[in-house]
Amino acid sequence: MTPQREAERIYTALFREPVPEVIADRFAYASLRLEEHAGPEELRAYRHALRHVADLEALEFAGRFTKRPGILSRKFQLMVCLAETLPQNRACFIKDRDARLPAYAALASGALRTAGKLIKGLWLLRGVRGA
Amino acid sequence: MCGVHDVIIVGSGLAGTGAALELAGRGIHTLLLDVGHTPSPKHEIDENLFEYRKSHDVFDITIGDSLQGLSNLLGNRLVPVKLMAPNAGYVTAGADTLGALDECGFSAIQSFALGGLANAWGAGCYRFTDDDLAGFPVTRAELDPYFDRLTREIGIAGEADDLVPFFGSADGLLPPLALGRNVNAFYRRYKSLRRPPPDIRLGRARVGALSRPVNGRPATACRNLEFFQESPSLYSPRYTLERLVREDRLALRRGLLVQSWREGDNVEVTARDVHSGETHRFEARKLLLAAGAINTAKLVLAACGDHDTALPLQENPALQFPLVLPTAIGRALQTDAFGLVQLNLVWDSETYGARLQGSIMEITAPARAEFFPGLPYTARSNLALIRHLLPAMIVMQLFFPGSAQPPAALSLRPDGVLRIVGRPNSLDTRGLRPLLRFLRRLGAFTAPGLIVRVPNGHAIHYAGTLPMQSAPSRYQCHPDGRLQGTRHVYIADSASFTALPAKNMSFAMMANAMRIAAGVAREARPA
Repeated sequence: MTPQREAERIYTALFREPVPEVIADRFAYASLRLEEHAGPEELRAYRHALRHVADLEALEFAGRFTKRPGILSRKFQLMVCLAETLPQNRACFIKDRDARLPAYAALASGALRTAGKLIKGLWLLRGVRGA
Repeated sequence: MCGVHDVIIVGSGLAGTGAALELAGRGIHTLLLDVGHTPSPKHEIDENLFEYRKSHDVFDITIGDSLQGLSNLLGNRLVPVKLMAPNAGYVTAGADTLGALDECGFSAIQSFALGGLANAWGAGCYRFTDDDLAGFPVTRAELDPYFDRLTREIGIAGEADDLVPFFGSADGLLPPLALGRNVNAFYRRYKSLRRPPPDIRLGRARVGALSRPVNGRPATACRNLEFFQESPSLYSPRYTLERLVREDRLALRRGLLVQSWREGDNVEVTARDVHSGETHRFEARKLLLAAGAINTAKLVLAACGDHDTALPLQENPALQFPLVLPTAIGRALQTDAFGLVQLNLVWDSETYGARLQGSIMEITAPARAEFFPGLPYTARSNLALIRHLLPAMIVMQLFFPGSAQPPAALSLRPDGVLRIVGRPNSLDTRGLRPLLRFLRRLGAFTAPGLIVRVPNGHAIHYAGTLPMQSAPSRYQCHPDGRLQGTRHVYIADSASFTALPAKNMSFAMMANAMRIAAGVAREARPA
């Protein structure tokens, strides 16, 4: 899988949008450094997941939940750090106006969504580890 | 070698600067030696970061081409957030080679910059009281005149409040900085308590940040840049040193790494030029070591050629946890709050059997992505939490006295590498229960799973490697700072601290360095 495609998959899992070119380039550059600290087995499982798992968000959360956040979690974090630098993503990180209802709705729906993704992620995790 | 100086100071951090200030005031011919990296900011902005971000890519300011802003994600070792900004790169530049460490269970941060680690400090300025000085052969009354002078030199914002018994006199403080919205709500609740618990007190932080212009330095603008670029409103010892040099009251030689010293009638200091590798020798009547508790100890062990002794190294273990204010959920992010410590809490804890100090901050200044990995939902839902929940959060760092854990052991290997062996932070978080109950009364909530043990070494409060004692033995110093077994060598920094209370020691270290320098001045040039 090309670095561009890898960036595309992770960015889309987070933001549901195509990855901006500048972010894809920075991600590819930083990924090389990130992968220096990952073992070959971990990288193999990661690449397998990129190719075969549609719901990366569920898989990432299951890894974190089972206290084994691997390189997928670090790649997600890397992408969030890079994405925050762009003005077009500002609204994803900064709330400019008071709005209580959307906040409570986000907290409640986030909890439900997280529970659902956990079940799915644990199932996906078995597949990736068995691959 | 060019003549004999009255005094040589090694190190330009808060202690070296305090000593230089005192010696300059007494007309003593002083030479200060340091590697002395200085900032060379490539990307700075002159407006509120959140406004700037509406139309600009901030990669160069928050992350940088060398990916410094991703150090904790990409590197082998953790770095405090304030040292991750590309503009702060000079603070720790060259530390891996100039001060190579072999560490286990301890993660020391070193600086070879002019002004030292205080270029990235939280600027907390707290007087040591007699309680804090228990065990020291020094009293508060001996330090108070220097605290008073430093209060004017630094420009400290604060207030006379419930914490005066713990923080000492509030004379000379600038008006306090405005509190952020969340911290203000929290503090108002505390002020309205009819019966506050007798063992917990809350009050304004005392910070070396200007609330009004002083000596040409501007008032703090609160533009959320505290973690990304330097502001002259926040004190750095570099400002004092640069002024003393400008006024021709201090000789400063940068680019030199002091390696050893030798005593004869005077003291000969050997230093290596970090660029050319050339060796330089200097001679002085008195030598003041102020390279920080770790590097000062290294110099002493090197001068003694001792590769066997292990010296104690104290640090303040700490816990950190977020606090959510449910009444603030849904509010917009406040974009004009001061990003460093706003409130302090002092807790005489029965559960821990010690006095602890908490620092309370709004969390507007760091990059939002910093909080992403600590949030409990899936990735996309965590992004929603960042947006909706973070504006309702504050953070507390709770510091414990150095005695809360065994000191690390510091020794010098034959190859010149310093070895530090500590133990991982193992503070028992269950002891926090009474404090968390009190915080809930103030409308602030946390969860046990969110309490983080700060890695040992990250408080950057290193002390006690060569402690002061009334009757010192080897590798200890006299109450006047003189290293036992020497005639002309004095320890001016926190290496000489006998104990480490749960309080930011910077201000006391600077005042103590002035006290020691005053004594050295009398010795170096008797009346």
